[in-house]
Amino acid sequence: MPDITFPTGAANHDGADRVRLSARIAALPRVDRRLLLGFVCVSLLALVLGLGFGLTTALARGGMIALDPDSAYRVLTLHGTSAFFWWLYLAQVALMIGLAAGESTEGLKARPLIIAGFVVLVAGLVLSEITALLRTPLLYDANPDLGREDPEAVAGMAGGYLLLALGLVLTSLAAIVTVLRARDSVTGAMTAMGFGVLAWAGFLIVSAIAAVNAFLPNLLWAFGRGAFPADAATEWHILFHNLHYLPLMATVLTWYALTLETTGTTSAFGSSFSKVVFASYLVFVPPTSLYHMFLEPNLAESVRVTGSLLSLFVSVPTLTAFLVIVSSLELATRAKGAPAGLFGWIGRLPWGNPAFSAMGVAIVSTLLGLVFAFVLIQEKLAPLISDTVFVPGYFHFFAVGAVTETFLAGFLVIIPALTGRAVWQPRLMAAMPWLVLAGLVIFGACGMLAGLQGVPRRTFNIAYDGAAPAGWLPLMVGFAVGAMVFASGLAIEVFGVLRMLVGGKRGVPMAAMAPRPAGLPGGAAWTGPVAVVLLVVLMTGATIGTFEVMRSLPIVVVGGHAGH
Amino acid sequence: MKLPSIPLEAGLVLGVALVWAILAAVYRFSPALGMPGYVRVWGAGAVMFLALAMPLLRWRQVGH
Repeated sequence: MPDITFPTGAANHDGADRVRLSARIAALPRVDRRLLLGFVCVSLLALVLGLGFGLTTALARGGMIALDPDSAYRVLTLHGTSAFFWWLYLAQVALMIGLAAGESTEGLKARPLIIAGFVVLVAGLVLSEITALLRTPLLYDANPDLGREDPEAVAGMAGGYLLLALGLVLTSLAAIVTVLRARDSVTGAMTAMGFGVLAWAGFLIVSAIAAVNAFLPNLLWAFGRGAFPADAATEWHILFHNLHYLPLMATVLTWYALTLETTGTTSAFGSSFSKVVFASYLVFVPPTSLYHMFLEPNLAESVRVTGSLLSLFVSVPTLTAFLVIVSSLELATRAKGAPAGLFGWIGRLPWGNPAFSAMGVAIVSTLLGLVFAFVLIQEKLAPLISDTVFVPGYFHFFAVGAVTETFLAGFLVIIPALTGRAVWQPRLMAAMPWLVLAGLVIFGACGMLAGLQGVPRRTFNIAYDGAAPAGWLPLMVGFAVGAMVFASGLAIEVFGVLRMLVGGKRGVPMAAMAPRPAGLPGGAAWTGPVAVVLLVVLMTGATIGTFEVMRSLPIVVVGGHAGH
Repeated sequence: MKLPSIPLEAGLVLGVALVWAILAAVYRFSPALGMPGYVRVWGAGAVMFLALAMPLLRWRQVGH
């Protein structure tokens, strides 16, 4: 079925004709384009490292390769540090300054801050990787308890993350200055994207403060300048909460940009509503933070109950953004003559565009992740499954399927604009996100089922001298197979992105095939609301199902406090 | 008396600062929580978003 052709020439809801993001980036001053490329390249390096160490971890968990306990923890530390911290945050910086630059006709402002940020971030990446490679592996949260005998490891990991925090502050300040100076010269109004970048950059700065709060005490202890950080777990959870929201906020902002870029569709609800949605991320961050503390033994019962209730709001901003984007796409596509029926319009979207395909997979993966995320943040279930392989089983829907696919989609738009090279093998690149999703479904299903049966999260040898349940191993083999499948798809996508940087053919960027925005007519769009209702039903079903599974397990739990 | 209008962007950022300040205060004054780190981070965030709102408000004062 052919993609619908979107006509050109309509104004968007910011009240002005906008040149495509890719065109604006292509027109940036040479120094800005080089800076953007620098951030893209360094972030891809972190992704390649994270992917390689992650696959090694999964193969070891499936019993396909053998790792001694120390090597296993080292690989796990390198995977988490490279992927969860460095890839996700370097890519965010690349996209943030790319989107900020797209707001301005004169390129980036406060350029020295960005250059300084680049140097600091590269130094931090090197320090983190070397420390994780050579010193005691502390896991990606740089747990000082694991480094009591090796203060240099604590210093290296904390130092790396503190440099990350400093780099985020420097680059975020530059993004804020850029979008503030790009405001309308008469009214001072910002575009929705300009405001989104402002909010995102502000949130990155606060998260950098949370990183200092978490890691500075560790560093001071390692240098003999402070007491041992006894509250490290609590301080980590504050940062960790922000680290959940930030990539999702970045993802949603990138979806907004990609939707306009690849389909020419703007929000049917207008620029002001988009700004409210972006700000809502920041409103919902602090109140929903308590659920990370559910494993703390001394947490008051009233706080547990309050945290459980507030956790129900955790997905409100992302679901609202989902509704806005899906409804806007449905309205615009139906206006161009999409077939009747509830879902017929979906097939007419530009799935042949690799960036759009990756975004589509990211949206599906986000919904799948949300179904199971609510299982984990239930106060009664969190203590039972938080330390099982259920956790990596579900969160890769977010980390890989949602966030990484979105960031790669963003790169597929901005890299051709920076290098003038065409997207490598567009049909293959458009298919790979679906392979990644297929792998994630296998990985997630096996991982979550194994977690519900009690397979531990970070223990690689789960034989327990033959005492482990017989069902564990097949599920962990499936877990590893799923990882191999999605890692293969992701590796091909990364290769394709690299080919746009080096050695690829010069040509028209993929997004240039997408036309300019269409005005949005009135009409009904039911797919988004139906999807949200279905999601709520599935969330409820998954939670009830998990409770029933846990109740049916033939396990007697003996409380640790009783001395057993 | 007609109240001066606030630009949408400034209003949203001020709203964020207010929520973060309230949460910092709740953590500060609720003994059951006992988590000073939350006070530091949410409090610093409130100050940061308040600072971010200033240029958004100042434009209106200068421009109109």
